[in-house]
Amino acid sequence: MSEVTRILSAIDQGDPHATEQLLPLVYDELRRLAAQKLAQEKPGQTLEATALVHEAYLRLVDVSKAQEWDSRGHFFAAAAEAMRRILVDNARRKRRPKHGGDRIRLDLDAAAPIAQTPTDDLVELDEALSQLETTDAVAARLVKLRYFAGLSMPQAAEALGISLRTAERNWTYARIWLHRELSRADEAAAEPDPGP
Amino acid sequence: MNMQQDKAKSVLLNALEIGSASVRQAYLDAECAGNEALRCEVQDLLYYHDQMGVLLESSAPALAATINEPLAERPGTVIGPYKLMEQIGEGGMGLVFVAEQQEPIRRKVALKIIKPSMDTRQVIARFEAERQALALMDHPNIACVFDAGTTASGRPYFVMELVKGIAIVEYCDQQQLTARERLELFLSVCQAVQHAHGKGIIHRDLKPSNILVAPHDGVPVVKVIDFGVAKAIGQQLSDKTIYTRFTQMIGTPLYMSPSRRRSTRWTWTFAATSIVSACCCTSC
Repeated sequence: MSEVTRILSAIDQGDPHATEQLLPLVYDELRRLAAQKLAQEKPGQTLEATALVHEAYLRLVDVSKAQEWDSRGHFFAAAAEAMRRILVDNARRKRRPKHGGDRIRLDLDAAAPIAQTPTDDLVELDEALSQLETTDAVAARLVKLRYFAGLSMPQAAEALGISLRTAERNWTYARIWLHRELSRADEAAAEPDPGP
Repeated sequence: MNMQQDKAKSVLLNALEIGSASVRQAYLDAECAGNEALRCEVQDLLYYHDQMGVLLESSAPALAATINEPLAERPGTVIGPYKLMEQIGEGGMGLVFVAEQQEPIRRKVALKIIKPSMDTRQVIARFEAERQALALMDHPNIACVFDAGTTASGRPYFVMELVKGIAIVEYCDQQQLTARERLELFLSVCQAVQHAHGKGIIHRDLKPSNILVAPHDGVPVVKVIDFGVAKAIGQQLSDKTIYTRFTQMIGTPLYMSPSRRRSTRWTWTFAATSIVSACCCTSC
């Protein structure tokens, strides 16, 4: 039985400490899996973050044992959070201007994965998401599951233990809320126009 | 979530499920009666609902391997019809090379490209704004833009006339110009800036090193270069958001006016005075 499966089983049985162990483990596994796959890819090719999460699930979780939605929910919640951190950490690192030298990116330590798309967007989204977590935990969890772990609406609803309709409503709300938060962050950062 | 937010959320979502505008309005009036704060919050969220486009509809960014990624542009690199030669400048966000244009005509140009690792959305927006600002100019004392593009690795660049000159202060000293001659040269700078202002562009980083003087048929010609921190008033220079994070400095400290919030004309006067002082003091 893999370590992850063991922990999921412990969570199902109500072990209060098991949940904390899950995230660091999933985080390490995701990084390792990403590095392994990226090493096989040609340079410049990409790996979908959500595809990685699903593959990790298949590899790490003994599906026959983890039938209850509790387990799946916990795994994907942890995987979503882990993927979020991997992507955002790299986005933050990439944003810092490099001084000197010709190399464009970070030196790879065992092919550390690097997010490819606009880094500003991701860092801002991360900050906005952290804000949402403090005011509406369900909406925030839903965003993480769908955006970072790639769960469909029905899958996410099941993972969260809510109805599909509730999930859809929360999704709409989360998107509106985040859009407002991001817009406000943009406005706050904009330089005021000089007077006439 | 507190009660008010919870209420706003539920009213908002219910309202969005109502198809008819009049029924929706009636619903909102009923729910928000006597509660202005609630009404404002819901209206605000409805506004952002209309604006949100496809936010989050795609999934998270992809991961990419970066082993073997090509090194930065260097002499010899070919970008489109331009072959890079020596590097002649470096700013906060870009590098400037002399380049040899092969077609449709052969000539030497200046090619400015975003530095490696600076291709964030914000920097790209500013880079494009610079290019656009320069492209709007049509004045003998402002370097003109010929071309623009993106490299294979996705970094923007633009191509300008190559100004074979030196910074204005050095020129004045080398040629041992009189104070009068220096001021006449400076008049060209004023004309260039006036032209830019006429187009609604503020340079924001005028300093001697951005003002070159090059001889044209024996006559010294001033060329203002580097609109890297230019700002447009009343028009958009770039279709991407340009904003200034508090961690980034705009302008070069020695030449910025004490208060950036004052009028443009005042600010320009300060910079102008500083530049003129720099030009003229060395001759005294």
